[in-house]
Order: sequence, then structure tokens, then C-alpha cells
Amino acid sequence: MDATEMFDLTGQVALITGAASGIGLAYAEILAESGARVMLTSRHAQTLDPQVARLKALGLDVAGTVADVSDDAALAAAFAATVAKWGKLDIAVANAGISGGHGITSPEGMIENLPLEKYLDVIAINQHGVTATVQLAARHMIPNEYGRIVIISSIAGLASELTSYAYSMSKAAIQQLGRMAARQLATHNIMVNVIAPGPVYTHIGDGALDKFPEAVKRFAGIIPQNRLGRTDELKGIALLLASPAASFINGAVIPVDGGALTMRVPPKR
Amino acid sequence: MKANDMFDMTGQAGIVTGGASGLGLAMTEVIAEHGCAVTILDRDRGAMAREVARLRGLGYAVDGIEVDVAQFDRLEAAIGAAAEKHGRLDVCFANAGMSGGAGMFTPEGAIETMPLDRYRDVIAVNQNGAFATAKFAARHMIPRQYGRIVLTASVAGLHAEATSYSYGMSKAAIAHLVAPLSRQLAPHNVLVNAIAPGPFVTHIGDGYLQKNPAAVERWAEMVPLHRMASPEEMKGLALLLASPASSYITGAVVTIDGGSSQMRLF
Repeated sequence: MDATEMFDLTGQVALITGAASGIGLAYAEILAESGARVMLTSRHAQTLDPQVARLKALGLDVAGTVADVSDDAALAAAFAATVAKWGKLDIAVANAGISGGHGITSPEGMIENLPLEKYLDVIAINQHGVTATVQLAARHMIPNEYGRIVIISSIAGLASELTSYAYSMSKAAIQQLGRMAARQLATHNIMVNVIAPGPVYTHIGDGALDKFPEAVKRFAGIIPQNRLGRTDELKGIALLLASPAASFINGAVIPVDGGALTMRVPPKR
Repeated sequence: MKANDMFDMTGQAGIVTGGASGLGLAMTEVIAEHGCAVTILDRDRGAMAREVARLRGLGYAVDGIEVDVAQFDRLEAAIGAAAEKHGRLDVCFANAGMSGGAGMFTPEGAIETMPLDRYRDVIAVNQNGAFATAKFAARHMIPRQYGRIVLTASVAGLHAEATSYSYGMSKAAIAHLVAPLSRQLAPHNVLVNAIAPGPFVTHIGDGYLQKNPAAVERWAEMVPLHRMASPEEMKGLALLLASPASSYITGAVVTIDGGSSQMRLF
């Protein structure tokens, strides 16, 4: 059995939130290339539509739905559209997330100043949006007694990073969601696992990494390999967890961080 | 990049300690199936000869060297021979391990009565043997600035299960080894991760599970999936961590336990 068979998703149906760019887009690519029919969701039609068109032009069986994960009705409609189009749901990747905005090195990020409205905005997407995504996925998967749910957290939820409170707290909360859902849904043959990426070069924070080369250097400094990850480097783990090959992997929280978590005392660079 | 490219190991060479049975055999098979030449290092000569012959018959490049990982000089020579034969060493599964024997609820397993000789034997194989395997493998990987080291830990090393002290302690030590080892070797592009399996049906403990169906049922009750795993279910994770597809995964301890780690509280 070669990898193509072990990880074959032919005939399966997937939904990925936050799929128009970055890590979510990489997931959409690898699942579609492995045979799945993939519904990409995003808040932004202007970024979603061109990516859906590009993947279709490559011969991949994908579609797009504009939905904000913090809008329960819109998210439910995206799931319903997926099942209406392809008849079922096998895989859900709860990926949509936003940056917490200011890091804690800026005054706005400090606990005493932190605007609670901004905090609530981040929790609404990164935490409530993921919870709603997992709930809807479970509802569609339970009757079929099969499912793979992949939650995208962050190492910011495993260790205290120089990033915002809201972001870190939301990412820790969804790890616990993953562990609890893994236990509860196992009896329905639905595996739930969590990927915790370290710094990966994406457009998060409206292109913050493009605008601030100092931030890139700073993130690279916390990685033993002294570089950020590429979105392509998240594809292998995502495919594993989405595929039949993950039949006994459940409730795992897997860092994909170039070793950042091993470095509590960062090296001098 | 398609799945079959990401996981392609054509031209690579690997070693698997304890590779002639159980989880190690599944690791051997899956990397061989993806193009990697594999040298099995195992102390069970009969099982190794049988599996090497079977896998060669299927067209895979598999060799075997009889060695006990607790014998460091022979282990070093065996890893050297495997690397020399192929001119490279890309992948190392430090997998060889043994059961600790009696669990903590039996008199031989209770801390106050357990025989220290047995404890030392288990540490010598599970902990010291895995450490030495990683060390000798790293020597061959550093010069080529590429490598994948995968250690077999256990969920018994992450939580207090009713396994033996020696088994749980050796597996905790292995899970921790990932941190300093991955950090030190990352600049050489040698990535180090551990797999922490839950209950798999293997021949560990001289076929204990085959002889004790009640034990299989007891293990199953600890897993939300309510069953033990077959070694085949290890293959996807083993392939990911051994292949180029894991290029940004290092220092991770990945549980593969059907969710049993989530059953600690009511």
C-alpha cells in the first residue's frame, strides 16, 4: 500500500473554514489533491473566489461558500450547502482564526489596557467559531458513524508567547474542546485531533509578517531551525489526521513548530 | 505537492530497532513500501529471518542484523554496518522495547517488593537502548545534514497507568529525550519526534495478550473507541514522521491511543 492509498480520500467530502489563504488554503489543496471534494469557507469573497477558481482550474473538485464562523446561521448554511451538494460530510477542518492584534510588547496588548471589545472579537472567531464548527460537523457525521475533525490551534495555546491574551486563550480553549470531543465522539468512530502550529509564514494579521521583517526575525529566533514554517509543511499532518490512516489517533494535540516548544530558554542569535 | 511525493522515500535508508514484530514491523513495512531501504535490528533471530525473507519476496529492500540494543558496542557496529551498506542513514526508528512484566497492582510489581534486577533489564533495553540508538544514528545523520529520528514512547510514560514502574519510567524518559535531542539536532536538519502508543495488540510480553483475552477486554475499556489497535494503524503516523512530509515537525510527542489519554477523569 503506497501513500496514495493510505491517505486516499476519494469519495470523501470535506469542509474547511478559513480556507481562502494561509494554512487553510494549504489544507484545501492537499485534501482535494488526495481525492476529497472540498468546501472552502471564508469571510471574504474577494479572496475566496479566486482561490476556488484556481483549484477548479487544476481539475480539483472544490466549491466555496462565504461564511463568517462567528455567524451561527451562516456557518450552518455552509455545512448544509456542502451536504446538499455532495450528500455527506466526512472531514471538517476548524481552521478559521484571526490574529489577536497587538502583541503584549505593545501597550494595547497589556492586560491592564487591553480593549475588551477586541478580546471578545477574537474569542468570537477563534473559540466560539471553532466550537460551532465542531458542533455542526459532529451533527452531520454522527448519523454516518464516521468522521475526522481537525482543529487548528497554536503553540501559543501551549506556552506563553509574546502574543495577545485573546489569541492564546482561545487557542488553549480549543485544545480542550478537541480532547473532550475526542472522548465523546469516539463511540461514533469520529476522530478529533488538534494541530498546534508554530510560526508559519501566512497573511495573518492583514499581512503583518510582510510589513514587519523584524517580527519574522523574532519568530525565527524561537525556532531551533531558525526559520518560520511554510504552509506546505502543514500538509502532511493535515492529510494524516483527515484520512483513514488516522483510525487510532484521537484526542492528540500535535505541535508543528520546528521545535519551538523545546526551547523555553531561547538561544542567543 | 501530492501525497505520494511528500511521503516518497525512494533512495533513502533507514533502521528499525525491534523491527521484526509488532509496531516495529509495521514501521519497517510502511517505509519499505514507500521506497526506503530498511535494516531491521532485532534480537529475535527467527522472527527477523522470517520477516526479512517475506518482505524481500514482496520486492522490498530489507536486511536484518541480530542485535540486542542493550549491548552498545554491538549496536554501534550494527548501525554503522547499515549506514555503510547504503552510504547513508536517513531514518531511525528507536523502537525496541520490552514489557516491564508485572503491573503495579501485583506483588512483584509493587514498589516495595519488585525485583530490581528486572527493573534494570527493562531500563537497559527501553531507555538506555533507545538513547544509544538515537545517539549512534545521529552520528551518521549530522554529516549529511538530514535525518528523521522517531522514538517509540508510550502513553504509559505520560500518565500513571497500572503498568510496571520500569516500563512507565523508561517510556517517560524517552518522551523527554525528544526535547533536548530535537533542540540540539534541529540546526543539522535532523528532526526528532516520539510516538506514544496506547494499547496495540502486539506480541509484547511473550504473547501475553494472545494468552489473556480478559486483558484485551480490560484495555479496550480504557479507550473511548472501545478496542485495542492493530499495528497497521501505526503506519500513517510512522510514515509521516519518517518522511520529508514532516519537515517542520520536531520535538513532538504524538499520542496514538484512540483517545485513552482523555479518560483520566470521570
